[in-house]
Amino acid sequence: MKALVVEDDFISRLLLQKLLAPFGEVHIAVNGLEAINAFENAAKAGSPYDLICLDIMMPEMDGQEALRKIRSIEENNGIFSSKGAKIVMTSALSDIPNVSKAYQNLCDGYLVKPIEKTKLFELVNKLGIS
Amino acid sequence: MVVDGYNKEQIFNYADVMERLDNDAELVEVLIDAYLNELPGYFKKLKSAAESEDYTALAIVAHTIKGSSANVGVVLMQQISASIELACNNNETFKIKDLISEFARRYDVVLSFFHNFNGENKGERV
Repeated sequence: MKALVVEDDFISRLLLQKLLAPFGEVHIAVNGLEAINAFENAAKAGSPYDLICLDIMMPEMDGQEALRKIRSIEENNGIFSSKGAKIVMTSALSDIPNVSKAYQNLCDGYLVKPIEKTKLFELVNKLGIS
Repeated sequence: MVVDGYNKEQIFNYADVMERLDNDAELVEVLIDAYLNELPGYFKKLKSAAESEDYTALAIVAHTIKGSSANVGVVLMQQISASIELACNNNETFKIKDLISEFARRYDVVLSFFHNFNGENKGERV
């Protein structure tokens, strides 16, 4: 599995990186803009990400906007919903508008911080990317 | 252990973070060490945003500290960061000065706690 962790906070990046390392290669980005660049570069190199963990509240470009753009890029390349990257939002925001918006923008899962190892692993297994 | 009126559970919920991370004590130790390295930088950013009255930036920094503190179980900082974020989002800027002072007080408590925690309760973290 190839994963991209997008978090502006070092501790959250470190935690997700450590938890996902046993599954394969883990890359990091610190905001939505970097995530888009990493996503496009990986796709161009023919080695797209299987999993993207995306924080919402970040500077430069937030996670909701990054999610929308990634799905838009996939759609423009003829890649639709279930065939695209599995995108899991990882956020301390648990309010219904944010969760609903993320699912409307076609995320595959939503984990509320603090991150629980069991829930993360269950989701990774459920999404069939372990 | 009691620091400045706070007991251990009010500062750091070790049992909760261990449960969330499947009793991986080594990982918890790595995260706590990283958190203590990051904390001065967080505080600096928080003060800077408050001093320049940039409440959008202050809300983002407070939100980051809240999430980071929650991930490592440092509830004392999680709570005060949440209060700062809420005050910014509710435009209750008159509360900010006192909340930043409270953050500073808790910052000292946390540093003191972990300084002693390393020595007195080392077995719990290893």
